[in-house]
Parts: sequence; structure tokens; C-alpha cells
Amino acid sequence: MINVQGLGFRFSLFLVVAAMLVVLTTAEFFYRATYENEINEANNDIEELFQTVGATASIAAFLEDEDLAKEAINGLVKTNKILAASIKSETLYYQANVTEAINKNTEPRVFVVRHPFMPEESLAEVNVYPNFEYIISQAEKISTDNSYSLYAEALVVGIVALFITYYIIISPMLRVGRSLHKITPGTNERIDMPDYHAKSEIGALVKDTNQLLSKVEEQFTQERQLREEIEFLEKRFRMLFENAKTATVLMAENGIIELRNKAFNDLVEKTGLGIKQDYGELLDELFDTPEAMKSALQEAFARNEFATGEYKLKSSADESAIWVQLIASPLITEEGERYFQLALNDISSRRQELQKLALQADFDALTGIYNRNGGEKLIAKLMRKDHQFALALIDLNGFKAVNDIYGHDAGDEVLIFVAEQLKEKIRKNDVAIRWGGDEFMLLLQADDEDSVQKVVDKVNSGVKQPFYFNNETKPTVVSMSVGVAFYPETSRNLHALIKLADIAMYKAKQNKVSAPDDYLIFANQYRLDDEDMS
Amino acid sequence: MNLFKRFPLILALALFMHGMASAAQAQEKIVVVTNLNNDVQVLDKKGLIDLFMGKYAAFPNGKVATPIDIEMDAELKSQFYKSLVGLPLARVNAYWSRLKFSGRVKPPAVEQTLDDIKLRLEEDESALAYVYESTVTDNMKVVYRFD
Repeated sequence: MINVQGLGFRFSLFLVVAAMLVVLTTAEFFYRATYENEINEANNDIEELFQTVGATASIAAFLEDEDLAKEAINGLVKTNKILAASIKSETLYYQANVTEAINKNTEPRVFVVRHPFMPEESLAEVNVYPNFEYIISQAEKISTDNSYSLYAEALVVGIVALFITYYIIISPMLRVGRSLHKITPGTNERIDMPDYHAKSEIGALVKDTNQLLSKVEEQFTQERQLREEIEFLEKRFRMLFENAKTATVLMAENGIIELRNKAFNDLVEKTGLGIKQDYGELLDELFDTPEAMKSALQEAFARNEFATGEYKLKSSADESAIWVQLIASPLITEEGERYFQLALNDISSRRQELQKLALQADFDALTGIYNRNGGEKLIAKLMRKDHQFALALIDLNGFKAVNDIYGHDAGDEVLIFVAEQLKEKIRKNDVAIRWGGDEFMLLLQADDEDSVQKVVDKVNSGVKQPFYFNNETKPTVVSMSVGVAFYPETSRNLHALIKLADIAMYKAKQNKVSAPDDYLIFANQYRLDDEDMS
Repeated sequence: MNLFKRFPLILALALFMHGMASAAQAQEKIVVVTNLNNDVQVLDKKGLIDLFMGKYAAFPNGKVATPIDIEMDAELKSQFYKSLVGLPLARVNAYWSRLKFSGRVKPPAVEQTLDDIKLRLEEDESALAYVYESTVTDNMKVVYRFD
């Protein structure tokens, strides 16, 4: 209940101690003053006592009446303050206790007794022996009592002061303190104003503290709002970063990755390299051709520009190639540190798609050899480079029957078979093209009819192999008719060249029944040239 | 008209006359007298005090003395004691009250009127009384005069 360290206890302790010190230092003075005062008082009392018996003593001296003298003297001695007394005139002497007083060496006080009716005439002397022992003991007693009462007063003042300070200062301060202790800064809680203290120093303290609390609350609120905004933004940014489909890393100059998102980790996993802290300077461990990538990036960074490019990543054997579009930009922080931001967009599927599209454009989907489009491009290219070549246009005989009898799937099978034979039997530098329907074309590296004849014969022997469809016992056989034109001997013009080959092939077709061995015919360039050129 | 004018003068005169009369009365002297046959010829003031205040009951020559107070003439009594001991009558009465029980000291004897005193003085040789000087008779012997 009582807090020894508390203000109330301290205040009252100091007050009481101070009061006691004051009493201690003044008590001696008061004691002495009281003592002397009491002695003087006693002397005055003795005088007054004498005055009261003076008339009796006077009459006794006048009448020489011993009874009256006795009465006067006994009256004096009766009081505690007088030890002994005597009256002495010419005719009269009476004393009480004088021997004792003389034994104690007490000096008497001498009073003159005057004539009751003639004051100018003195009749006797009265000796009064004060009871110094009693007077001193009384004086001491009173002085001591005074000192004690001073101590008691100091104590009472201390206690009263304690109560007053407790109720006026300490109690309201304690309430304020407890109230403040319970308050959580930043809330709308405030200290209650103690009663009757609205205009006191405590009230001022409470007001100031409440103002401070208001400011703190205001700041807390602002900070909280700011923090919420930042958190909101951070969350959004994180979401944006984490969920970005673009693999993004923030990388220190030494290659240590400071920040990476999920897309990056997914991408790294595809390469077969585990998740690591770094992948070399500029992620070069990830790339298939790190040198090209690095030189491109460093060149751009030297100009303080961002670099972009498409690069192939290393990939494990079973995975298909991973291509990324790399966007790398150098960053300089406020502290002057250099970082790189690298964004890797997986463009593998797009690249595959493109390749596929390119393939579809130039190759025949069914047989896998060049289609007409691819073939024409190839011919154009050969012609541009002024290569000599032989163009052999092939038309299948009997294919239509297969289609009609066994269906399109069987026809497709035949076409695939023929294409395979073409690919198989031609030489390394020769090219097989499906020209359309059951028409094929061979581009042969040859400038003479013999070598052409040799290759085509080889092909023909392959194509003529019998087929067995659907467990049929009767084999199916397709044959081919071929028309050949030479570039540039037959014609320098592509359309003319194809046309001449086609005419030759048509001629050969006419022989398919009559002379099946005469299936290859070389085009006559002169005649056609004349016709077409005209 | 004339009478009104003179009125202040008349009034002043009357007052003057009255004043003179009072002074005459105050100034009337008191004397202390004894029987003609008393041996004592003269007494001093101290001796009178001793007799009237009870210290002694005899004249200096050893003969019995009987001081006498007058009962009816308070003015005379008061004036006498005032002159003798300088005290009012009340104090004198208080003095006697205090001594009444001692028995040893006796207050003066009491006579009622001046005539009683005259008679007593004629009859009693020890008598000692105070009278106005104007009332002294041939049968009295003045032993003290107050100035």
C-alpha cells in the first residue's frame, strides 16, 4: 500500500525529518527561553504572593500581632514556590522553615513591610526564601513538555502535510500516472482530468500529455495508412512479379541472384540445371551460346542501354530446345551499386510454331518430302546460283486404280511408299519433291542423260515393287512415267523448263502399255523454245 | 427689560455666595477632644492612629483610653478617618472586619450623636472623640487639631 520510493512517503519523511531537525535545533533555545521565563515568572509570583500577604504582614507589624504575622508567613510558605519565610520587626519575629532554607544556602528575597496608615514608615522586614528546587524542576518540566509538544507538533504537521499532499498532489498524480500507464499510444484513449485540477499544474500536465497523445495518434494513423498503402503496393508488386510469365531476376554484378520469380525457377528447372544461387556472370551457364549472348549484352551495357536478343538455352537431352527472348538492363541503385535486371521470355513454342509453319509451307505433310512450293523455291535458288541440274517430272501409273479399289488411305500409303523410294534411291545431293497429287519431281545433279537415266532407273526399280493390301493375295503394282529437262540446256526459264519436262513425261505416258520400258523421255528443248519464245 | 439685562450678574453673584458657603463647610476643622479632667494635654497623630486603630488601649501616660466613633454623623466620621489614616471609611471598616475575630484588638466605642458624645465626654474620663471645632464646648479638652 505504502510505496517507500513514492512521492507521498518521501515527502512526508523529508517533512518530518526537517521538522524534527528544526525542533532539535530550536528545542534547546526554546528550552532555555522557557526555563528563564519560568524562573522570572516564579520571581514575579513570589512578589505577587508577598503582595497578597503584605497587608496582613503590615497590620501584624503595626499591631505587633503574632497571630497575624503567623497567618502571613504561613500563607507564604504554603505555596510550593516558597521554601521558607520570616518576618522581623522591633517587637516581632516569626519564621517558618528558615533553618532548612539556610542549610540549602538559599538567598532570601527581602521585602519591606510598611506602616499600614503611614506608608512612609517601615515597620518590619519579610524574608522570602524561594523554593528554587521546585521552581527549577517546574521550569524544567514545562520546558521539557514544551519540547515534547514541539516534537508532537512537528509529527502532526508532517502527518497533516502528508494527508494534504496526498489528496491534493499525489493522489491525482497517481491517478494520472495509472491512467497514462494503461493507455496504448496511437489509440484514442486519453487521460481523465482529475477533479478540481483543470487549472492546476497537474491539469496543465494532463492537458499537455493529452495533446502529445493526440499528436502521437495522428502520426500513428498517418504511418499506419502509409504502411497499409505500401503493403498494398508491395503486395501488388509482389503479385505482379511472382505471377509474371516472364522469368525475371535481379542480379548483382558478380552474378548472385538477389531476386527471382517463380517463372524463372520454372525455366531453370526445364534446363535441367538445379536451383542455384547463381549461374555465372550474366546467367551464362544457362545459355547454349554464352559467348554470343555475353558480348551482345556487354556491348549494350557499355552504352548503358538495355540489350535484347533471342538465345537458346542449354537443355537436357530428352527436352526439346528452349529459346528465350532476353531483355537485360543495367540498374544503378541510389547507393551506386550496379545491378542487372534480366527478363527471359520463353519463346520456344512460338519458335516451334514458326518452324512448323515453315515446314508446312515447304514440305508435304503426308510424305515429308518437299512440296511444290518448297520445290519451286529450291529450283529458283538453284537457278539463281546458276547450278546445272536435271529436272525429272514423275507421274504414277495405276495409282488411280489403287485409290478407287482400296480407298484413299491405301492411296496415301502408296504415295508414302513412293516418296520413300525416291528419297532412298536418289543420291546425296539430289532432291525429291511431291509436285502434287500423284506427280513427283526429282532435281538431280546431272548434266548428261546417262547419269539421269541411271538414277531414275534405280528409283523406278524401287517403285515397281509389288504391294499387298488387306491380306490380298494379288499384288498391286504402280509404275511411273518420267519426263526430263536440263537446266540450263533445255531452258533457262522455270515455267518453260517444267512445261518441257511435262510434255516429255506426257510422251512417256503414252508408252506405258506399249513400251513400258520406254518410260523415260528427254525433252526437246529447241522446239519448245521456239514455240514458247515466239 | 432692566431686570433681564441684569440677570447674568445676579446669577453669578448667587453662585459666588453658594461657593463661599460650601468652602466654609469643607474647611470646618475637626479636633480631637478628651474629658476636661484627663491628664493628657496633647497627642500627636501617630498616637491618635495607635489609639483609634487599636494598637494601644491606653494613653501614653498609661491611663486607659476609650476612643469613640460617631454613628450618625457619617460626614464627620469619614472626614476624620480621611484626615487621620488617609483611608475612606469602607477601608477602615474592612480593616476592622479583618481584626474582628482576633479578639485581642477592639475597635472604638460607638456613640450615636454629637450630643451623646458630649455627654460621654463629660462622664467618661478615658473618652477620646473627634468633633467639629465649632461644636467644642467648655467641657471638652482639645488634644489634637487637624490642619
